[in-house]
Amino acid sequence: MNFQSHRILCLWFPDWPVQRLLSSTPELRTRVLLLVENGRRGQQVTYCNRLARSRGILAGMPVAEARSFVRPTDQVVIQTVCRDEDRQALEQLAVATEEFSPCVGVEDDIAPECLLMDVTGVAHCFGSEMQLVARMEQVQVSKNLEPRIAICNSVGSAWAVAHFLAQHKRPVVLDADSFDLFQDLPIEALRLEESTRRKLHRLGIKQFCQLTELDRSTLVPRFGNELLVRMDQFTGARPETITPFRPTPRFALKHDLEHGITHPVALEQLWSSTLRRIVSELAARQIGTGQIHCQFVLQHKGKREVTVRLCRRVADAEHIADLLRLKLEHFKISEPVIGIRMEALDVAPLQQSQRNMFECVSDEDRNFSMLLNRLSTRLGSENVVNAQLFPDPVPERAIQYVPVTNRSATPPCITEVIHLFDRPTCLFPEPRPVEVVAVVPNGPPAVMFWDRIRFDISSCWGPERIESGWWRSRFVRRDYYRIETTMGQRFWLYRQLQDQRWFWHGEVL
Amino acid sequence: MVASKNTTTSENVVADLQQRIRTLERGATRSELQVESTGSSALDSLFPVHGIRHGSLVEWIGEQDGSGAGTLALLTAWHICKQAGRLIVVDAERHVSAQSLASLGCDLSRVVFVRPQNQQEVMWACEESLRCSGGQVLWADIENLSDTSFRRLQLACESSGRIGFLVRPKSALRQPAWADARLLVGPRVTGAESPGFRARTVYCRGETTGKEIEIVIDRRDGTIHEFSKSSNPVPVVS
Repeated sequence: MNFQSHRILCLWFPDWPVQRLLSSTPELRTRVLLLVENGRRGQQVTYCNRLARSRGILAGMPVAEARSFVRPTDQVVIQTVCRDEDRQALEQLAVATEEFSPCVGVEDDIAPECLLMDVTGVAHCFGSEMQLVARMEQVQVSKNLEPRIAICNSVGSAWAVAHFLAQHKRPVVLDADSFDLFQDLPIEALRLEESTRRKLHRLGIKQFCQLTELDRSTLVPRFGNELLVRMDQFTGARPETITPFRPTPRFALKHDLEHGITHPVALEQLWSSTLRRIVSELAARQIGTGQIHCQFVLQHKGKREVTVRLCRRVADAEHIADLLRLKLEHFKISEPVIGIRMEALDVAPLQQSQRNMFECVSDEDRNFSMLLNRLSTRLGSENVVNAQLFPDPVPERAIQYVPVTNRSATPPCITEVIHLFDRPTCLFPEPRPVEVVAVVPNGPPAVMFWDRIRFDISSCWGPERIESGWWRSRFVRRDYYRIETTMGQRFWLYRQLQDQRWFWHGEVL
Repeated sequence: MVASKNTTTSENVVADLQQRIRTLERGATRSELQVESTGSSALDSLFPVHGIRHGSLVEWIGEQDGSGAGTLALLTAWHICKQAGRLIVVDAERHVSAQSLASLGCDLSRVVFVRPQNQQEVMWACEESLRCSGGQVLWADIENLSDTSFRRLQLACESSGRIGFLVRPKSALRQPAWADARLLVGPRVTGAESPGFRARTVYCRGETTGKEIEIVIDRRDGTIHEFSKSSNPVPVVS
């Protein structure tokens, strides 16, 4: 059994609002059912049942026009779409499907129609994955529903297969080797925004295989990060989590005092005892927190707030207390404190210390994450960061820094090949304007002057032209040179082609 | 025969005494010496135990701007933590280029950039990082360092067994060193795309100073070679 690959099930109910009504009132099948919303042109049909479609009624049609398609013998039922009731019904269905998976989530959409489930390691309870989906189909059909079911290795692919390959009573189960089947899927299978889809269609890109043939580095500037994210979620290269629909219980405590306190020792006693109570509740449920929010209520109705973010969820009162203490070091409270509100946010089940027989979380990992928590708490999360490469040729835009406490950030999965020393180890935050003498006009530099210091150049490599797309806000067009001075120093210079000015952008540190 | 036996015995005694003196100097209780190679035998030879001892500080002093001290320290640091460790880069100036680190072969997911706002925070971040036994190597660009702070960093290193690289300007030569080794690094003209550097020991605990090497970092694979006048290992055109 493969413990590594995830198995995700997508349960899609096409036209869910209609299916919900037909499920509760089966006699509506013999009537023309129109679910309407107010649009630009008055009331418009948003959903309709099969009988209505057979009469020629389409979604988006004005109600008055739709009525003209109805035969005199037809009974017409017109109802307003009720999004809240549709969502509630889908959540009730999610509760009922928890027998199939411990993690069931509702699709993240304004009008959700899908349930997503993590069925990793669940199939053997039903015999096989095919038997699991067959059992699920049977349960849904008994409720007068017509689902499309698919199991794949990622949320993106399961969603796509359920929408474009699965049929009623013909569920699809695919594994990682079936990637070839995805190539012919339309780009609508990627769950893209309407504007992105329109842009792609204008360029004649209609299938997933056409997208994969394009250079990834050109996609971000033209279509934004969304396209790459969706493509990676589809292939499973970028993880996508299912948010369980059940609301997570709140872990919050408040403590009001009869008399205000100001002494630091008493204050520490107050917040540390509150913290210990919250963490003990978390630990009892094997839940960890990634953020602690603490609010001190002051005597004159004022409030002081402190937030501690952690790079890994923990349920360790001592460690969190240590971080809070660091945060409160420079925290001055001028008035007596008459109460405290503390809440553990970003809670989720703790990662098990031993995932399987061979994979362990070592003490070094734990110590290192505690160090990062301490550094982030004291210096600020924006000052303790990881770097991510982006496929942008302009050096100052090629890197994005992400706080280590930002667990939702995922690397962009881009590996640009840069040769050693093609980029300097020290890149100045702002390029320094320099005076350069070249032997020939527009030729390589021979002498450089900066801050009244003369640098004679003995060797020079380049130019390497770097330019951004014309559609970018700040157009960049530069010729870069790597130079060696007669003293052996290595610098990185560029000539700005718009105005022929020279800048010193970096050096070998 | 007898003479050679006596020589061997006396060498062993001297080696044993040197080891004891180092242990006393370190003030550590670790009996075994764990040493990491820098990835270059020439560079290794500059250090007291032919490599970098766990629980030690190394000062990389740049002769001038663009001397290469920081780059050599980064390459060496990544070589040490390449297998499983992590690299913490304390960069108050925010000038270390992550893109160039990637080109040096660093796995950026294992590199943490710490950007303190002032000198006090720099010292705190360095001490915390060195004190934590989380399998990391520290690289820090520090201009000013008092004796007390330096000693604190050394003690932090020794208590955790971590390695710290401090990149410092030439003015640091006027201050006493608490590091195991202090290397003065300067550029060397190569005329080729691969950069060359000159490194000299200005302080080395338990060893004679003044040893100098000239090295070239191969642009193709990042390996460090000793510079040879007769046969340059790096072609002019690569």
